[in-house]
Amino acid sequence: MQKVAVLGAGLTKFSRRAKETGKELAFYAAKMALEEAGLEIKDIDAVVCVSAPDAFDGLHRKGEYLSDGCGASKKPFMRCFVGGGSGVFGIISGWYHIASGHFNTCLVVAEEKMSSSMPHPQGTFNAIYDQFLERPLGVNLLWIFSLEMQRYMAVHKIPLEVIALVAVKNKKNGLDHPCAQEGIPGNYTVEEVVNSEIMCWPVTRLMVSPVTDGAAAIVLASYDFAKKFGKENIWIEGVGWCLDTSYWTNRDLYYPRYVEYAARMAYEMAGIKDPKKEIHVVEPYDPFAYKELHHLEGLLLADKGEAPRLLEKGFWDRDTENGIPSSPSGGLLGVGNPIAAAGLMKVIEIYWQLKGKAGKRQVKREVKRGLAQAWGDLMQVGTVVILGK
Amino acid sequence: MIEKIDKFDKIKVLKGEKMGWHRYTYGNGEEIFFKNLIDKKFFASKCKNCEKLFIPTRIYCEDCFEEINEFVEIKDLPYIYSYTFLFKDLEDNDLKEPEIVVFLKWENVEGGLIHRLKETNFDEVEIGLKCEPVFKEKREGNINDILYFRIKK
Amino acid sequence: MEFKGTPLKDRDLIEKKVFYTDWHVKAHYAWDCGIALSYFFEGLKNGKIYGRHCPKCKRIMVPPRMFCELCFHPTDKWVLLKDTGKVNTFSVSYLNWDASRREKPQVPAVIEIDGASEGMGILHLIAHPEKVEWENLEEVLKYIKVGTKVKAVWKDEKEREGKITDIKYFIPIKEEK
Repeated sequence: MQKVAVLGAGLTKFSRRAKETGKELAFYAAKMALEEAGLEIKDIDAVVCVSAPDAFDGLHRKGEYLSDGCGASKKPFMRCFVGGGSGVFGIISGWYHIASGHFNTCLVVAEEKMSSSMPHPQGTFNAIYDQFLERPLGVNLLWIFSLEMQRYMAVHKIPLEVIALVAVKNKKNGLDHPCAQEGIPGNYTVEEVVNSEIMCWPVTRLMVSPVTDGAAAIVLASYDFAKKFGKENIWIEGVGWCLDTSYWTNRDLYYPRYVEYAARMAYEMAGIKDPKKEIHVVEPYDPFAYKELHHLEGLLLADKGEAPRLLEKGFWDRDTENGIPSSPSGGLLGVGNPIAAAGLMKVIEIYWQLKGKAGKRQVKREVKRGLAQAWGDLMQVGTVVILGK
Repeated sequence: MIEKIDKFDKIKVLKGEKMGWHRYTYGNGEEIFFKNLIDKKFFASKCKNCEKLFIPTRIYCEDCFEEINEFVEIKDLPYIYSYTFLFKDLEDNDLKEPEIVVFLKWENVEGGLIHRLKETNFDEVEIGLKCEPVFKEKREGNINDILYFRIKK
Repeated sequence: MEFKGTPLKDRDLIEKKVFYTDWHVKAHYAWDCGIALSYFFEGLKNGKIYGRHCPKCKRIMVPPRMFCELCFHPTDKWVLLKDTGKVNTFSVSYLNWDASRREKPQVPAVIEIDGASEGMGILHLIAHPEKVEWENLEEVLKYIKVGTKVKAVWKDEKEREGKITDIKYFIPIKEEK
């Protein structure tokens, strides 16, 4: 298998509604990534596009629609989709395009334009529920999250105030992200988060990521191609992915075992025996405040039930010296959540942290290895990527 | 005869429908095309690199992958590149009056438009014939600002 | 680094500063229920909840399915379950399907059905045991927590259609001491 390097990354601004079409957002992100890599579109051998449900943008064959904005005209093209896990799944797909030896370079573009969905994207999401057993009950997307959050809190006896600390941390971190959606990052107190409007208790408004339009892109290259550049490269050291059964009411939701299986696959590939010591910075998927803690445990970076207690001690803070900074970007709670692009935004953050280019968001401790994780579908998929210097 | 199953008394089915609708912004590129339709003008993008012209307008050239910021008016009429006749509607019912749908291209321009052809008999339609647009009285920046095209006599 | 993108406000669209087009589509579906759910829905019509047994892992599963997705083996028999259960998890929702707000909350829950294997739950709603509608969050928390025992409340026999809504909702019951 060939080693795969990350040569460049691009992001657009995240907003509740962008004027740009999906194609234009994809173009801006892809162009920026190519410019950082110092490449032109003719240097790209293959393109991978990841984007979540077609229903959001209101277009069928969304990958093909976006393809020219992704620079894929007349090139080998693949679109992948695993719900919210797509962002990291894109880089995994790009990785195996190159690791197989079939291509030297691959451009991965993630895009989402949720604002097209009316009256509200939450309504579009209802189609993920079973049409026979669940939709007739008048479902809302937030039900599954609040049900999972309740189970997690009940099994480990975690108070709501501790979960709210994740929103406080991430929204504060997001203030330093140049692409953050307007009105999303901010300095909030635990009381403000807990007392914000109840959506689906125990989920309150400030514990949920917003609806967002945005795009992200990354350029991958093989070892030989990357070495020509002579710069210090960032390598993909491990990838992992796993899907659990869609009978989500038959699973105990307090623990995401599919995230653990994906993480184990990635750790084995990277040769990591002790993740708590060998992962220096992490970007777990945080569409909801409790999700970050839920995933940190699934990633084996904290024992079951321990992530909230470590949070209280500042273990996951951006300026921690002995802990593991988590979501230094601000995550989905602090920057925005354009489903697929959000996952790739997290991978890009790890890339910038390793390169020392994260500006005000640069973590204090020394970092040589970082992990980004995304999650999606009906509480089903875990996708993990480990980057290293 | 194509078999269509639309009677459900013998098998157990659950009926449902897609909820919600969509609002699409034209984006930086196509907005220029549609805004100019209000003035009854057709605009194309011009790539400064390869000098190709594109209809509808867009802000990047998909071949050069460079940003486009030059837009030119196309004054001549498009020609019929291809056409088809419609006899049924989307629900498989017969149309009261069959329709003609054409794909129109402009000379030396990439891309084109799909639209309806009216005021024409079926046997008059030929590839290569030039067509002119018939506009609505009140235009809003929408593809239907053009009511239809007709063959230029 | 310069990041591109043009954030819009609602008034940009209302005041027509930016152009857009709308698309309303009618898309109707008729989904075949399949073998397992057709039988399950017939059962609901008769006021019964059925589960399905896997001969390999011995799970009794609800919702029923013709193959066990973990063993990847066909399931072999129908098992009649009770119409009581316990709350695995619940939530108090102030939102409708389209994100509009509700004045009075709804309580969706995952209910582990008695008679099925441990952890086998279905999604349904929980109602106030006497007045059906809940007043507010505080009232719900007086009656429901993880582990509360619940019982199904069925529609009248002649109103049942063979759908999940033949169970109107579940209500909390007092435990037999």
